[in-house]
Amino acid sequence: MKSDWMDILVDDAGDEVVITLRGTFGLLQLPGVREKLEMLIKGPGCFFFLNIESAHFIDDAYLELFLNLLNRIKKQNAMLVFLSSKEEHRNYFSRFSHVLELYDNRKSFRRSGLLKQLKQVGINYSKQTGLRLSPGVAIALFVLLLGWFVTLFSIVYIQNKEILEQQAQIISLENQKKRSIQEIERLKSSLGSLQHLGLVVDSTTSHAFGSIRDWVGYLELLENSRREN
Amino acid sequence: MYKIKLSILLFVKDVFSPLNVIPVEEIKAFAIELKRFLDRTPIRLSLYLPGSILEAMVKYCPQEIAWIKARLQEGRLELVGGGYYDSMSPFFPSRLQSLQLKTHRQYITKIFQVEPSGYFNSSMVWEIGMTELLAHFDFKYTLVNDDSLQFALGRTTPVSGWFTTEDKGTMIRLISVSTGLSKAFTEEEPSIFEEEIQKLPKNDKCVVVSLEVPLDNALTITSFFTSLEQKLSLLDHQTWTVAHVIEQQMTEGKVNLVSALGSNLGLPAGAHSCRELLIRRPEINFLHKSFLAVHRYALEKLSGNDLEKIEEMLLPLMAPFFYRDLYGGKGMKNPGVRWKAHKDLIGVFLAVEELESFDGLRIEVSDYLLDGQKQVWVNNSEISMLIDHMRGAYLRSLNYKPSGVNLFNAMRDDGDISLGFLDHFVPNKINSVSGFQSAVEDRSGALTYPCDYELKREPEAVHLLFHSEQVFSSPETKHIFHVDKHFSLLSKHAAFDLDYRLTNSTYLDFKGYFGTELELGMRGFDSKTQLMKINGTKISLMQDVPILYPNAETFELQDRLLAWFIRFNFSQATRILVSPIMGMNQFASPLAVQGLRIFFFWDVELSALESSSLGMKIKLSKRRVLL
Repeated sequence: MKSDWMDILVDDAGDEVVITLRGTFGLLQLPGVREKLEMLIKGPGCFFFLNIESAHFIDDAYLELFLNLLNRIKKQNAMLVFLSSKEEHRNYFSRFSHVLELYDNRKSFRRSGLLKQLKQVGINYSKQTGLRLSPGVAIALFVLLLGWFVTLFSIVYIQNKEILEQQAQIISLENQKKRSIQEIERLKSSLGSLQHLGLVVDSTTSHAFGSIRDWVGYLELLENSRREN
Repeated sequence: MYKIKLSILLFVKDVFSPLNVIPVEEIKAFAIELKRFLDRTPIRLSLYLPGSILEAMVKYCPQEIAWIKARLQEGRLELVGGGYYDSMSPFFPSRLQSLQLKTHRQYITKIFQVEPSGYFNSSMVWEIGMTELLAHFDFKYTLVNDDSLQFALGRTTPVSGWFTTEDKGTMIRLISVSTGLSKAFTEEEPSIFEEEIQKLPKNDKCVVVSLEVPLDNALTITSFFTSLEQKLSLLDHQTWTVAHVIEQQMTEGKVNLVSALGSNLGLPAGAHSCRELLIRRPEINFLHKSFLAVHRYALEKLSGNDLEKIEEMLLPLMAPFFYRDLYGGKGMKNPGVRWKAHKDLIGVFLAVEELESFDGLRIEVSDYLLDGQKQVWVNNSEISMLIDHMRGAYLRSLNYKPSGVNLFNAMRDDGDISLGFLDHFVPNKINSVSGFQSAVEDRSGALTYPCDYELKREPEAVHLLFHSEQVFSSPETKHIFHVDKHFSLLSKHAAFDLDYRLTNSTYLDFKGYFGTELELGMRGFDSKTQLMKINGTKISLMQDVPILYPNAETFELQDRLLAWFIRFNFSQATRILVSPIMGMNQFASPLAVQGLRIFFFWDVELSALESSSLGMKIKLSKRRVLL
């Protein structure tokens, strides 16, 4: 079991699958590595990352294996990305650098281009759902959906603004009402002593205003009668 | 009156508590008694206190701490450094050892404004590989038992004084500690003490003793100091701190290949290194390897502050009570210590996963146990398990993360490892409960030949298939079976299926039993907090009486105290043998319950090249109602 000299770690997070290889890989290990990798890429996944940071390849035969893997993964409409920051691996992959993608880590792959990754996700989901969209239709759908969202948010925004204005108006009217009541109370109290002396007659307690308790109530009564007419 | 120059090192050990309770009263009593003792006598002392004890003293005895600080400045006291959690160095990666030493040193410097020049661990373990690490932290000396030095020097006469040892261009002094006199100080019988005193060489060299202050209760602390004072009154003594020995005496020479086994580790006298604990006690070995795996995992996935945080969380798991082959709260022979160790380790592992923000399924094929062979480690957000496919694809651990338990955490007295889903063939001649019990316990029909593994990934589950040819021999026949063992794990749930396909590969009919064994690390069965149900009916388990139940369709087991519940649903009627795993306690009688053995088995009749399928579904949760 020479293949067992190597360590394999699989981090399976649904769309992203990271396969980490650790150890020294010569010709003796090749059949074992092929068997294990082919077994692992068979399952679901949109992005297959092969982390080779702690792997040391001492035979070029692995390049052929990686090209085969790439073909298989492409057939599954997924993507194969190699991860390593070592110069040794850059040199090893240099012959096929236009085909085999090598990045320092997953972060640098994510920074490499959003469109490419979106396209890959699109391909993967179209395979899963059976829906196929051309880029034109996808963009039109996207613009349409965006338009819907923008319109929806504008309506909500405008209505919200109107409600806020009305609330502000109500608050100012209520404040005005309170101020008027306070003013009337103040005037009443200043006239109180004169009323006791009989110098001033309170016209509000006269017959015409007998049923009215305060001025604001009176004004509201007037307004209501005006509206009824 | 015997004239003697004496250096006394007093130390206390961390006290094990399953719920991390600090023995405040005992620590207060220790601080007060130490102060009284030094006030009453003109003695000079060296002192080693682990970080947790120091922290508690700073919190609860600030006056005594101020008093110790003043005595340190006077030179009447010396504080000796070491690991923050009194860890044994040779077991652990240098990175974590450095952190232990650094944290302890920084704390001493912060509180007392002194830097320790000596290194001490209460287990008295020493290996030459520690030299570089200690020299890096500027330690000038360490203490080693005189019998280890005697063995290394090939002497039969007593060894005293100090020696030097060097490794990788660094040097440290080894001060000989008189084992006999240290022991005699703790003996109640005065004649033993006097006898040991008479054995000492008649010269003016300083004799070093290390004495543990027992933190059992306030009374023992008081009686320790009273007894120490009484014994010292029998001597015409001059006392010095341990560091003073180096200044006062010349070196006795150089010794390099000294390895101190340590004391109070539970190792027999024939052992040569503390590392033998890892061989003799598989439970310690498994905890140690799991600890290293978590650390490796953190190193690989985290960096900077996140990594530091995890390493700090790992430090308490290096405490010596997790690595001693002792009973009670002193070592891993206690089920409570094993439970606590795995609970804390699972907690650290969960913290790593949270910092890494990984939520998926992880499978690793690597040498987890560092035994030269690969194992398969499977982990999702709820459970993790280690499958030893090179020995029959049995489970070495099953961790249920929400409760922080490793279910396969029993202990066998024969020193064999406890495990889960170890498959057995049992001959059909056996027809009694005790017969089944001994057949399973002896593991005579256990299927432990290596398996080939296969991983199949599917959107919702992962399948681990183990194929092997297993041999079952009885005195009359030898059968070869092709066994396919199939674990199906859901990506995000605490549930898995286990299916078997057995094919009789020989041209001989087979009639017998096939079953799988689990060794659960249960507490002694207590019907108030634990529950066992077979086909929905409660089963009560007597302390040491095994039970055999036929035709089971479901089997449920619950521990309300430790908050875990497991249910097995069988694809066909199953026989169940339940028997407690009894072990010895400190009184050498097999009375301590060390776990619960469960053996699920079926009648198997296979003619030549015939196959049969068996299986079960396993679900775990914290509470029964949640499943």
